[in-house]
Amino acid sequence: MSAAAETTAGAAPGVRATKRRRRSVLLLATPALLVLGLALLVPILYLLYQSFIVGLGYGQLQNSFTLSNYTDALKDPVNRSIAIRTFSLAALTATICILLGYPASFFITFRLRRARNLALFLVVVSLFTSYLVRLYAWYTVLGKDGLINTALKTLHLIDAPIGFLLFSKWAVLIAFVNVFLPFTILILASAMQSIPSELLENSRDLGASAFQSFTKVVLPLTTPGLVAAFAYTFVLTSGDYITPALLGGKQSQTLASIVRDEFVTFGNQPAGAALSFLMVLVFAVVYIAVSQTRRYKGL
Amino acid sequence: MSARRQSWGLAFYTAFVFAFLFVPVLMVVLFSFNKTASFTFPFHGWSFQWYRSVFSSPDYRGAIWASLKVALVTVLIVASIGTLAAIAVTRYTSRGREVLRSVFLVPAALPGLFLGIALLSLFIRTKTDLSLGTATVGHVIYTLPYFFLVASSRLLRFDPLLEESARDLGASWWTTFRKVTLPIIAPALIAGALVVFSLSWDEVLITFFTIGSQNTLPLLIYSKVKQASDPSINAISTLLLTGSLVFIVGVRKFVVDIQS
Amino acid sequence: MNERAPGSLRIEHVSKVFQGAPAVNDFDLEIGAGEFVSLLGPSGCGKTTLLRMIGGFEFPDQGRILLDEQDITELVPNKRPVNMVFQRVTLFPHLNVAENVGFGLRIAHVDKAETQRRVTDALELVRLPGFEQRQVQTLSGGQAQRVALARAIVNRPRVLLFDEPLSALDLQIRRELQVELKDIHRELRGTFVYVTHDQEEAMSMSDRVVVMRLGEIEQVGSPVELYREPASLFVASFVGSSNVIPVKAMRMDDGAIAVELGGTVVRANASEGVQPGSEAALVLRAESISLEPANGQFRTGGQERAFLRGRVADVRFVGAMVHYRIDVDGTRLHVIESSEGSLLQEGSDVDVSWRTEEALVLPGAPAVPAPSHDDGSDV
Repeated sequence: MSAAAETTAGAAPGVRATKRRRRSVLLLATPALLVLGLALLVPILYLLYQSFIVGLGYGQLQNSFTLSNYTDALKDPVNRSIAIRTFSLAALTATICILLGYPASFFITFRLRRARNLALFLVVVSLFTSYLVRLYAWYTVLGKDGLINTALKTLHLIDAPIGFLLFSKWAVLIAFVNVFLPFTILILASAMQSIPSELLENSRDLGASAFQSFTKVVLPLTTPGLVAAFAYTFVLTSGDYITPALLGGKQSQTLASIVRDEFVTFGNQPAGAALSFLMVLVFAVVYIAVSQTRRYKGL
Repeated sequence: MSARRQSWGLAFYTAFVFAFLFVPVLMVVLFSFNKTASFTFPFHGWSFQWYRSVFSSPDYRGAIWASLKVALVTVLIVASIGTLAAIAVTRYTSRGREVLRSVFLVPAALPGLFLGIALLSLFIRTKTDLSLGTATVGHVIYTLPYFFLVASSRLLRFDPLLEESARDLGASWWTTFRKVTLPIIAPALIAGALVVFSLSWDEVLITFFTIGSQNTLPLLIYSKVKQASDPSINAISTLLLTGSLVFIVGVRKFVVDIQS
Repeated sequence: MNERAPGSLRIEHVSKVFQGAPAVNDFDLEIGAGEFVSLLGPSGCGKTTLLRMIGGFEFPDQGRILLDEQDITELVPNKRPVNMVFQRVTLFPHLNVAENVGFGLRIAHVDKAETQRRVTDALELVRLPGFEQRQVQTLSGGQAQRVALARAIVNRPRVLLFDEPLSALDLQIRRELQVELKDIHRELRGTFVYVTHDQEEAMSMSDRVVVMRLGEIEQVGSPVELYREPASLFVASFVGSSNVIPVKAMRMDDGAIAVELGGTVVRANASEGVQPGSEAALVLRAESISLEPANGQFRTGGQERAFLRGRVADVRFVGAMVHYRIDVDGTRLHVIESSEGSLLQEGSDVDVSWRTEEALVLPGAPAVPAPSHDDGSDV
């Protein structure tokens, strides 16, 4: 009686009209796709290609296939120790951001009412505060004549200024945390805000203490946000070569700096390309791990 | 611990976090007005001399102008292709939609370093001269996901019945878009554009690789910080800051509409 | 305002399938010019889908829709001389009331003076004179839907479609607007097609009501016809407040039928298809049952009137009426009486009676106890 005529071409006039509309809507995405294709996909593919050819330094390339870029990068012990340093710094940054940010997000989401929007706005402001300026600002705090040293001197706790604060891996860590903390707070706050308040009230109503409500309701529901914040911070921190350059001092090379040097200083694009793809591999693993936890939590 | 004391503890903690976030930057602003050449403590008194030297320096003026040009062009490009892309993704009612959406969000997941060297190697291969134009390409790729996010989130909340009403009253698809959809989502699009401007204005990771001999403002600051202690850095940093902040205030105005 | 093209609709064998399930199934209906027709049914019955197909927002998989004998099945909405009032408030928030109402006219390039005139007239018709400059956000729900109505009317469409426009409004406002809509219909003499799940709404406003279920027509008729002569159990239980009681049909004599209700034999009118010896359903309107306090004497029914003994289980006073629930022979009856006089007490014995004329027997056994309406509102 009523046949499902949707799949028969030419049968239902309305279905044809709908399908036509659907296809034309897709056309709207073409300019953006074109731009992404030309300016993102093609360069990345070319970079991938480059990672498999021979680089002779100073911009010279030899068009022969080789795996040496990858094998050299992996075998080099310096690379390995720097890689460990880079990734552990990134993981440490991400962890600290979460540890520091979680209580703050909690307070803003669950303890503030009228001031909540203002607090979040301030976080957004700090997020958009120029990245470079925030890095440079640590000079005024950690430097020989900076805030900390001046404060300690005024309190007569030290005689000579502490020199190791700036240009050290601690400075880099602090700066990274300062840059990525706002973002972490926002992600966590957003995850917390989407918990319907009825859930928490219900849990208290059913007799759970505040702590239990926290561990059994808030924590599990915010885990996806937590994991996402971790992944994002980890990836972007690993790829940052400017912060170590400005604040890290002599021993501050990260993988990102090496990639940058290969490209800019030594002109060995293939080596830089291979190393960067190895890094991307690590990032991909991290992102996949993130999406697995999301699926596990049933989200 | 009672709930009240716990709250006070958390409150102090949060205040401390905010201090951590803002104090360093506020120091920079403070010292941009420092009377003497020391760009850290001690603070000697108020002076505008560093601002004067910034505005009289052709280097700084050129960098500001360059940053402005790149940011404006980026906004124009991203706002147009981004709006179209957001419409496509929110209206495309098929399973491919999620895939398409992820495609537009990908650049945000990649570090600037990676985007930068990829673009640079392509420019080298195609023998394209590096310039503000090539830098703009990097900015467009980098900021597109953010605009897309803002635009598509607004479009998702846009009641489709509004468009149906317009069609019902006689408007064609294009007229509906022009007279109903666009005016209503305009605040969100403007907020998105301001975000793009702010991101582009501040960008340094990708620009480092894709720019030619000119400097954008962040790049100039970067090189000056690395070289020597030039106290006018405080002043120019404050100006950089002000630029980003002006746009945040603008975004705030339109965020009321977004309520994310 | 009243020069209107006819506006007759013919819906021929229209079907539509959504994701494998039929939403509308071989639907046939003729609507005369100037008629107020309601499509009534529970959610999922296809009434909204059908309405949207008339409006051009969905397209049938099979069948045709003809407006004044012209095939409009494939026309896009902006090309149809048909306008819709939607379920939610769909006024354009960036335009004021006058700009909203005049939207369609501006699209059609009607000149400014004429537009202004027609907008003013339309706002007067919906009882919102002087609202031209108001901002949309300042309107109440009822006012907003009136503006939406004005916006639709002002284009002089041949058919006006209504997709449950009052369902989001408070009861009082809804009742007010129902009355006004009927007035407006009378003034405009246009064709109105109105979708609702509120049977009282449909009955009070329409010339004809189309009761729908699972994409098909259950019954079409005037409100009185549907109320007095429901063609099926579904219509009987959906329209009005009825008791639908499973009974066993026993024998037929001269047009009436005897059924066994609990332990008693009762006479009623038989509708088509009832066979003696089969399972059937006795339909009794809640208003047609009378109650008297029992005084010890059992009264038995006869040709004209049926009598049963029962006990009051529940009393609900809602102002002008009282709703009783009476337990009779294992069945619970819903009875509505005027609240004048003394109310019966819970737990007291009562004589339950009705005129056999008012009782109807329909074929088929009711699957579940019929959803009865206490105050005439939707299930």
